[in-house]
Amino acid sequence: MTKGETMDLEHILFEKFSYTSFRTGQKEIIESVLEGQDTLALLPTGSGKSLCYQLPGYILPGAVLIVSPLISLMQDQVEQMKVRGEKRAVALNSFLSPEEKSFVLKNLHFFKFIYISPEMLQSELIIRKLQEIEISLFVIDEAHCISQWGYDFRPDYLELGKIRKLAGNPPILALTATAGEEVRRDIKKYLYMEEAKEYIYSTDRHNIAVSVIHAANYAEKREQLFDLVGRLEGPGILYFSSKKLADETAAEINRRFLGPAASYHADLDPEMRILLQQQFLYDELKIMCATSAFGMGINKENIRYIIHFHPPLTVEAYVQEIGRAGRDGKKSLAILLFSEDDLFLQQQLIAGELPTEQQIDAFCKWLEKNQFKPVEWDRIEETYSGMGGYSEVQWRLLCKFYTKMHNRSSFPQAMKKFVDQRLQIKNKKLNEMISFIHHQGCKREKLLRFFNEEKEQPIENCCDYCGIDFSFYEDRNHAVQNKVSFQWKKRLGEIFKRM
Amino acid sequence: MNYLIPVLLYCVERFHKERSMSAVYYLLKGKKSAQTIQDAVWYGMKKLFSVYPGLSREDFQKAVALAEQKKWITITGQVAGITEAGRKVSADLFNRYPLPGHLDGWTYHDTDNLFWQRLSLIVQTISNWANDETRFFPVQRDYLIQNWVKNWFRKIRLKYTKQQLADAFYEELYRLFAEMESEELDPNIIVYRLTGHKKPGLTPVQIANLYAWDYVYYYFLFRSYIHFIIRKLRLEKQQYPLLYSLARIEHPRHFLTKSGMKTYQYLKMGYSIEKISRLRKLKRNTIEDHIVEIAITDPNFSIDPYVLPELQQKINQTAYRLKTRKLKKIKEALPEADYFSIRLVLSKMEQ
Ligand SMILES: [Zn+2]
Repeated sequence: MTKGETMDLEHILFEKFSYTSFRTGQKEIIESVLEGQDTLALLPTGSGKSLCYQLPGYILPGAVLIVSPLISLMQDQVEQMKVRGEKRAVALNSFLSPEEKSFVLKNLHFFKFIYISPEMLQSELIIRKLQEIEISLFVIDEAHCISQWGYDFRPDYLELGKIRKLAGNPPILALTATAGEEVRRDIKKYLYMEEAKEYIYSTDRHNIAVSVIHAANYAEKREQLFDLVGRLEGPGILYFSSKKLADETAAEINRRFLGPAASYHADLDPEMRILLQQQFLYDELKIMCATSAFGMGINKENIRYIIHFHPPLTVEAYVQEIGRAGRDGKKSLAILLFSEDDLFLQQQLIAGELPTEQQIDAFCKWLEKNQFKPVEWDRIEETYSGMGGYSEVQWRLLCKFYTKMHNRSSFPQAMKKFVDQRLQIKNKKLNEMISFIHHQGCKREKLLRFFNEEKEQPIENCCDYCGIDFSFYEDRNHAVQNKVSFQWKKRLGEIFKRM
Repeated sequence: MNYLIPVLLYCVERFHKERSMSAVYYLLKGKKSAQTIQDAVWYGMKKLFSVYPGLSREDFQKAVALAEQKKWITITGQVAGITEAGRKVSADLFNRYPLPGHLDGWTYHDTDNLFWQRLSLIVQTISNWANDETRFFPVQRDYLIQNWVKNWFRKIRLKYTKQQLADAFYEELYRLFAEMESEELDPNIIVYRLTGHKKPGLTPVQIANLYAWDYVYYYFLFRSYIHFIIRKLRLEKQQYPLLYSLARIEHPRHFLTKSGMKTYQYLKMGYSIEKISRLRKLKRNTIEDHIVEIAITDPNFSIDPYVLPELQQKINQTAYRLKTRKLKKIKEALPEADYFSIRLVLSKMEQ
């Protein structure tokens, strides 16, 4: 690339994104993409992954097609693009009403940035529509989902290589925040990008102190949580593995006037999600009690702490979630609360994502009744609503696996074998997390070693083992939560700037 | 207490042991099936039709299970009934938290959501203009709503400058809320949901908590206020030209099936049932079904040409006396009436 073109990149960066310089890794990745190279990039959360494909969109002639498994994240991205003036961005996912969907498909040629969920790509109609437009770049976000060795394997991702070919074989940019060597090999294999250039950057975030606090039992953990929330300077995110607990904790924090707090999870409708995100962004909420659904689309720089009330199921998820703290580079804190009973809960969570042997057998009986017809993708939801005894995740997996099988008679054995394999991998991942929790030594070093990295230098307030000065993270202003008093005239006047 | 419980008890009571719990669920969800529409009309529950479209099966089942466990309802086979204890609980709760009086799902179910989405997005846009901000996160993400609002602004801006529009819109809203207040409706229920420049609105859960109300109660109250507003705007369109334009529906959705609509056109041309049946090559029964459909959905449709007023009165009295909407029971008590007549009369009963 010549010097003139390099200058252009900085120009576009400022014109379109209002940044004056690239962050680590961005420029190299963008240049690789613009050269038409297949590119595999491993960038830590919060390092501006999306810029790596959004910026090339302004240079490449055709559209950029972005596959992302996280629907709320793609919605956020599209809205963020619209806010900065890019109107040619759209998200194709199951959130769209039939009217919206047909509107978008009819006008697909208008869009430059097309986000799509992997499920949508299973639809022939959508593939046909995509074939009618020119696609210059095929972006796979969260690319680790393609690997059975990854913690978040999604069978739909395995189809992406085929879809790439159908879409006219555009160059690929595969992005992920976390991927070991095995996973990277799978990504390249299944996306047919063996010749890809790889860019790998450190996961370490020096400004985040890492701490695990052990509690004897659930009750003690709960009190520790409220104690921390009362002392620490916000804003902060509390992560739970249950929606109900997130709801209850937010209510309790408000009752104790330690907030304001709210809870955020997948059950909320889009309008509520937007309101809560915005309240958090404008510091009207001090604490967000959330499930892992929250955080990815949030560009909030000043999050001061992350507390995990339950350990995440994998080290990768843990690193991603604590990475949402301190994007402004200021000192921040990550605390994981742990009691031994958590293990049981986490194992249940893992098992709940996969069908049991009994369920597999019951599914086979159901198939028999239905003359072994394959289940079409867009009818999965319909068939599920009539079925008892399965979670939706389990049902989807069964249908998908069955439909993909060529030899139907070996289905139950194959399915059981698959489940065993997944359980093994997931348990191995959980054991990694547990070994981190119990690690007697520098926690940061331990974390980095999972990603084949080394701690480079001594860090002040590194981890609970090396020592953390908690007083440093305490709230010195002792801001008290105000009670809202309803005055509609005043509020309406403020909205319309009358006073 | 979960406000879904008294609502559910109310519905069960009204269905006087003739309908199932699913019928209650579909009524609140607003399922557009002939059966649910007929239930809403025959059992006098039009105002509750489609007032809780977001209700999940799971939450509904939980409430049913609780009501059954507390012996407030009994479920035998496909049919649910209320118990004495249930009646008491429901009366007591409605005493403290009455079912919002302005709720009218039947009339406004296809406007209420649209109206709110348009209103909140327009208010947010104007508020951002007032602060010289053109870029912001829209609180409504639906493309169709965003497009509608864009077009609305395009049209309205031919007549108003930005400043004039902000002034006029504020003035209309202020006047509307002040009038609501004078009718003892609390405008905070709506105003704090609105989003302004860097001022996100509160969520329903947040407002319910601040009032120490059950979430479902707030949900119903909010919806009833929106119904009140739409009704008022349609009645007083001259006084609220801007707001009224948000409460207009370009293509109202019809309860009538396409085939029913066609039959209605022939009826309006003065054709008899026999003639329509011959013309359309449909059975007489089918045409009769259409006419019942029309009687249910069109308040201006008169059934007098089909049922003599005397017989209408008799059917009415029988249905009231027996407290039933079961065709067979009415027919047994009143052999002279045919099923078609009974169905027509039930469709026109006072709510
Ligand atoms: Zn350390």
